[in-house]
Amino acid sequence: MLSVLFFGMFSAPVTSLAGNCQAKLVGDQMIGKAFRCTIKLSTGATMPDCWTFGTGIFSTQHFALVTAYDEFGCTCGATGSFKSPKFNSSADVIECDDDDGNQLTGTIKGKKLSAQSVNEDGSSEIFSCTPTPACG
Amino acid sequence: MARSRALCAAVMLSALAGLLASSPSALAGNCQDKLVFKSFACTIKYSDGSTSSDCWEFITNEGPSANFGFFDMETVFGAKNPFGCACDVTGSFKSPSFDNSPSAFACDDGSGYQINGKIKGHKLTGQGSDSSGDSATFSCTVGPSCG
Repeated sequence: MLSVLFFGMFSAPVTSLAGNCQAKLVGDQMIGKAFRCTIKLSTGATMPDCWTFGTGIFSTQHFALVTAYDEFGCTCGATGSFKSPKFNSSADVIECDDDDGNQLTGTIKGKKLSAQSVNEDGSSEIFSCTPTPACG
Repeated sequence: MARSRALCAAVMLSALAGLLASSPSALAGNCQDKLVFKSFACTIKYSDGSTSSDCWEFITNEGPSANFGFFDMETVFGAKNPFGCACDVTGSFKSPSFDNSPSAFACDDGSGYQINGKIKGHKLTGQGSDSSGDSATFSCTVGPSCG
């Protein structure tokens, strides 16, 4: 429901580059894949989370991630060399920022998604996520 | 006999002191040790096709992070604030070691800009992005002070 509110009432979906991470996570939909996640914080705490990828908000160019706690604007990682980089082209690596001191770097491996987040204050988290039909 | 006992005790004490001195703290050898108090001359390539030069100065006990951060002299993407950083997590999800990577790190400026990179010898490489989806790659070498 939350993701419908976030993604569904906004602009048309943003077309992804063929084969990049956005194509895997969102495709040409406004509401893309959802994942149930477990978060481990550097403070020692563990908590559940649910992520939905989509387009139409926040990251106007590419795609967005809505979690239970935050919203991020995302792009796929760059591939190629420094001399000849290909931006937004990684098939597996996502790079996100929330505008509020939290960044997130994730890797898609098969159906699973793992990620790390570093915050402006130096704290960090790790995420382990598996697909779910939706974050209800 | 007393002299040899004293000598033996001295040797043991000195061995113990040596062991204690070399015992690593929890974060000894992480990426922070390799970055702080160093300046890097950087070339940044942006996803819009432009290229710029920059100077990054890594610091600790300053800026937003409890660990370390860096001042960006020319402002990556237009970021206005010092970045707060931490070294990447190592180990497994079951048993993670936070802020522990000897080479990989990530930073955030608090207003929508992030970078993640690796230090290898005198070189720093990585990529960054902002919340609107603009992205960049960077390549840096240890340089003179940014000042």
